[in-house]
Amino acid sequence: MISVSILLIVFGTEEVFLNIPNTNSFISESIDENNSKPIVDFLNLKLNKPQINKFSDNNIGKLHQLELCKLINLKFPETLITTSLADLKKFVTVHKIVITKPIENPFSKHIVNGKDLHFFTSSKLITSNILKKYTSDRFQASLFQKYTEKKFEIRSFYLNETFKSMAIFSQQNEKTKIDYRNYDRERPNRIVPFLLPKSIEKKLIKLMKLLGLNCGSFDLIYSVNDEYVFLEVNPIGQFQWLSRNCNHNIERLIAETLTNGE
Amino acid sequence: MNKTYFKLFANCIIVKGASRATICDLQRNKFQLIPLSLIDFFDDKNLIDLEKIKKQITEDSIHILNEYMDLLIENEFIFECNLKESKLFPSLSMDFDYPSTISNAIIDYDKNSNHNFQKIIDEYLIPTNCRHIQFRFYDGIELNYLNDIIKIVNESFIKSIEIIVKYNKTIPLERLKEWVSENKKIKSVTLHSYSKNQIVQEENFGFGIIVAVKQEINDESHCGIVHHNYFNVLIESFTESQNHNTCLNRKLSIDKNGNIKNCPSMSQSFGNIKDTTLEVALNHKEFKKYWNITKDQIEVCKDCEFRHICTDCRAYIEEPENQYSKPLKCGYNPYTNKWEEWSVNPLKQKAIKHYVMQDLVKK
Ligand code: SF4
Repeated sequence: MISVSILLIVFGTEEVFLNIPNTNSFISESIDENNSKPIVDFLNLKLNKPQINKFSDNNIGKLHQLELCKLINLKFPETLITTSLADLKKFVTVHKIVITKPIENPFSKHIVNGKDLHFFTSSKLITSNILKKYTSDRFQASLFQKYTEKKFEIRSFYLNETFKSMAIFSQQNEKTKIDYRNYDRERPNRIVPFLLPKSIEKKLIKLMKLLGLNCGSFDLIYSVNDEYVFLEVNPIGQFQWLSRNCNHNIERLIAETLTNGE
Repeated sequence: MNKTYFKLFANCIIVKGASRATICDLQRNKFQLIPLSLIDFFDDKNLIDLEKIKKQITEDSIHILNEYMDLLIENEFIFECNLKESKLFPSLSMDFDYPSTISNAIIDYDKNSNHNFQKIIDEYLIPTNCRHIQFRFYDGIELNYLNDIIKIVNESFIKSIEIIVKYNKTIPLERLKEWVSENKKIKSVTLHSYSKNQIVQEENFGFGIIVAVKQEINDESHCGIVHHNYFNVLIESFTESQNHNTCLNRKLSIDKNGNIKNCPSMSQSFGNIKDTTLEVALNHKEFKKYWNITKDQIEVCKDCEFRHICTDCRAYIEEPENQYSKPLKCGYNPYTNKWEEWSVNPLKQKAIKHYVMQDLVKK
C-alpha cells in the first residue's frame, strides 16, 4: 500500500513524474473478489487444450524482461530505478531527456480517506528543467529510461512464433510524441503494416521462450540510428486496433490456434 | 547508400480513373483527387525518387512537382525512408475476411406489414451472425413499437442498427433523443417527411445520430442513390469491393410483404418468411448471384476513380436487362469528371420508365 504523502506529491505538482508503482494487485484482487481462483486454477491445468497464455502470465514483470534482453543481446533503453533525486539528476545530465513510466501495470487503485482512487499513468518526459522545480530528496522507487529518439514505433502481436506487426508514426504529431496513447482523432498517427527483420524476430522468439509465453504484444522503437529498441512485451496486449488498421486478421489466427485449425 | 525516398503509406491507396485519380486514405476516411500525372512519380513499389525525378523534368515544371510534393506531405500520404527501410513496409492486404454469412440486413415495414420481428431476428439474422440491421418504416410508428424491437436487439449480439421512420407528431423530438441515448446500439435515426432538413442530434463516436429530412420515403424506390456524401473510405469496404459487390454482398432483406430478397427494391423473391426458412432461401442457387459483381466489371464504373469507395446499386441500373450496366441513380461521368443530376439525363429516361419512377423523379 502506498503512503499518502506520495499521493500528495502527485497531486501537488503539475509535472507529475512519479509513477505510482503498482504490481498486479489490481488483477489478483479481482480474482479474489470474484472467488474465481479455483476456476482459473482448473483452466490452467487443461494443458492438453490449445491455450493462449495462462492467467498467471499476467504477472511477468517488466524488470525481468529487461534482464532477459541483456542475456539475448536485445537492445533496450538505458534504465535507472531509484528513490534518489541525486541519482536521477546524474542520469538526466548524461542522457538529457529521460522518461518515466510505470514499473508495472499503468492502472492502479488506492484508497485515500476511505475513497477509491484509480490512476492511469502514461509515460512522461523529464528534463533537468523539470527537476529544478523538485525539492524532495527521496521518492517512491521509480523507473527512468533514456528517451530514445525514434523514426517510428512498432507494435507487434505475437502468437506461437507468428508476428503481426505495425509501425506507428508518432513522430509526425507533436501531441503523441511521447506516448501514442494520446490519440488525435482528426489526424491520427499513421499506422501501417510492418515486417520485422528476421534477426529481430529471432531474438523476440527467444525472449518469449525464456518468459514462457506463447502470446504477447511487443512495443519496440525504431530509433533515429536505425536500431530496434525493445520497450516491453505485454501478455495481455490489445490486438483489435492492430488487426483492424493493418487488415492483419489476427482474430482468425487466434480462432484457428484455439480450435487447432479445425 | 542512404539516399532518401518517399513512400506512400500502405493505407493510402491510389485508384486510377479514366481522367484523374484518387488517393483513398483508408485510415482517415477521406479521399483526395489527384491528376493522373502525379501517379507517374511513384514507381511500382510506391516509392518516389525525388532526386531522379528532378533530373528528368524541365525547369518550368519544377513548381508543379513542388506543389504535388506539398500535397502529399501535407496530407501525410508519404513518409521519408531509405531503400532498406522501404522494404519493411508491405502493402496493405486486400483480403476481405468476414466472420459471418450475412453481414447486413434490411427490413422494410409499412402500415400493411405484420412482421414478427422476434422471429426475423431469431431465425433469419442470428443464425447468420448478422450484426448490422437497417429498419425502414415507410409509415409512422409508435415509439413503444420501436422500443419492443430495440429490446430484442439489445439482448442479442447485434451490434448496430439504423432506423428510417416517418416523422410522427406523437413522438416529441426530446423524447426521441432520450430514447436514442438510452439505446446504445442505435447508429442513426432518420425521420422522413419532416417539415425541414435538420440534424436533431449529433453523432457520438459514430452512434446516436438523429437527422430529420423533408423528403418523403414512402417506398423502396428511394434507395440506390450514388453520391459522394455516401462514399465509404474504409479498409473494410475497400477490401470488400475488390472481389465483391459493395451493396449486395452478404446482404439479406425482408421487404414490407415479408418476402426474402437480396434487396427490397429487387423483384426476385426467394420465398416469404411465412413459409420459407433461412436455409432454403440461402441455398437458392440465385441468392448469391450478385455478391461477386465488382465495380471493375461494371460498365463506366470500371473507369471511375471512386469505384472502390462508392456503394453500388444493382436494383436500379441504366439498362435493366444488362446486369453489368451502371447504377441508374449515379450522375457522375468519369470521363468528363462532372456530376450531373441523374434524373434528367435523356439517356436514362427509358430505365426510369421501366422502374416506374417518374413520380419520384419529378419531386
Ligand atoms: S460511375 Fe460508378 S463508381 Fe463512379 S461514382 Fe458512379 S456509380 Fe460510383
